[in-house]
Amino acid sequence: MAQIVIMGAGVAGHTTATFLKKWLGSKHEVVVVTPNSHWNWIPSNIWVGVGRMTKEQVVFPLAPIYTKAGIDFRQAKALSIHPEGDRESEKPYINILYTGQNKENQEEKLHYDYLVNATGPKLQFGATEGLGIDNQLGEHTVSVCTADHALHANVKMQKMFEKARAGEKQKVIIGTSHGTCTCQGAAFEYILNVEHEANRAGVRDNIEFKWISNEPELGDFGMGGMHLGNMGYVMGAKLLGESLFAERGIQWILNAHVSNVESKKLQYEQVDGNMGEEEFDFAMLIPAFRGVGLQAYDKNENDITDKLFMPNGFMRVDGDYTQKPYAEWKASDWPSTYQSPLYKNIFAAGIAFAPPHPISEPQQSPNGTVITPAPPRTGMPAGTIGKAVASSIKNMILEGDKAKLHAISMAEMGAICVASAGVGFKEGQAISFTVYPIVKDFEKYPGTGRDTSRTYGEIGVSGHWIKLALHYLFIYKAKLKFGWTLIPE
Amino acid sequence: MIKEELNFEIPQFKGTMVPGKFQRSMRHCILLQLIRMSFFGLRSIGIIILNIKNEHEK
Repeated sequence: MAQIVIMGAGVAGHTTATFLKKWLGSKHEVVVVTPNSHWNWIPSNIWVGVGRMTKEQVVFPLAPIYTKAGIDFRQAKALSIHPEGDRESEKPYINILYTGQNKENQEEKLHYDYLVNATGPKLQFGATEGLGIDNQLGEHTVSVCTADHALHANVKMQKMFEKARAGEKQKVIIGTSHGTCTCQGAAFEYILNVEHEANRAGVRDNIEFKWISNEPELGDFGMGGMHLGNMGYVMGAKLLGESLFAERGIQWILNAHVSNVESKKLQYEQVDGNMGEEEFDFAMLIPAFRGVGLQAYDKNENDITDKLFMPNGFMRVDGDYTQKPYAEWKASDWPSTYQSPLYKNIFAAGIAFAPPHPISEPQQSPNGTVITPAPPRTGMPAGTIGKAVASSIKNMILEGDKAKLHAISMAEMGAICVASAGVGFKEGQAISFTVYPIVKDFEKYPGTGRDTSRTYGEIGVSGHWIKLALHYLFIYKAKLKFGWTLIPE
Repeated sequence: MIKEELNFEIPQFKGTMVPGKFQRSMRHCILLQLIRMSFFGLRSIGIIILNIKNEHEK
């Protein structure tokens, strides 16, 4: 009997665990280790953040689902990986620290035959002065990264609306904080949703909206922008982004690294060296992401963390991590099997794997501050990678040395993304995108780096219906209800 | 309600293109949106099929 341990139960970890259990049955053991007791459909946190959904609508408890599926669930935080075992035994293991199940603060050694790192990101609020301490959100801004953060954001937003209703002019700033942030899409959705709600509440005229981001231009989204084919035209996502903002009266600050946040004030630095300052009454800034800080040790207990992980804490897999200039970046640099080059029984899925380099062109201010969006890894690639990793591990268990791995790189993977621009069955809107491939491949698609017949975007109420349908569909799938395997990642 | 008054005096807004009232109303036309949703659904299925096709053994 093989024991497969999956660290993390987000989209990637949950997909890997559930497919492995389905394919391998009771002959092999699947263990999920996650510090969270609940699963969260993160894309809908935006709607919790504007009071249009409750927390209960976007989360559900994991324990009953895993019990039903026959998956061993450990509510614990993974601390360290020991891929060679230790002096006592050569059997690899991880150290975990319980955060629930009435075993809080107890440490345990968990042996594995196969290990999947799907731990997602650590929200690094502490990387920006005043934004928070370490992974804890500070008091000056809000966040929509977790369901609890989104609840808090809505409380603050409603208070700001009350002031605007009383005739007090308010200023909203939404975007990214650190120069290397990713997840611009979530901030983009949030600013459009807050603006939409301000219109609904009849307070829009008393609120000024401003976008701040590390993107070189609007519509970059950490993907080096997009060229969208639509009705015979090919248009840059820059035009779409600017059009959406101009229509709503939202001004923007780009190429920005927020260096300091204080009460109702932030300072930023731009790529051209300009230093700026903005005042605000309500701000939501996405924090920088890094790996969760797992440590790794060899059998002699020597620290091998830097061999398994990149300096940003994300796991090295089968990508080409050689440092090279932008002009030499290739689609083939991107990993495809997500297997650790050092330990063949370790994989990383979702946000936990280290991208070889950004997708957007790197930029630096004259002071040396890096202002380059990190590549996004949204739900669809995370799920697709999670399933591919599950297929590879299944093959390795069932076929032994002859097993072939399943491979799909983000340079040969498409993504569907629906960005909400407001809630409402008739008055809601969303921008629906398809992108192919996610990572630009200039050898295959000279000019734009992507297939413009498959890269597409449009806005309308139908986008909102699709986003709402996806909310229910993916929660249904994650709960492993009848026919869940038929719903694609 | 979306602001009707577009302020093109703001320098950032000068270089862009904003849909007029008719285009905006089309975003909420149920029939048109149902058709567009169907097309987007087909595009999405195409992307899902491509992802399945591109996943290979190595």
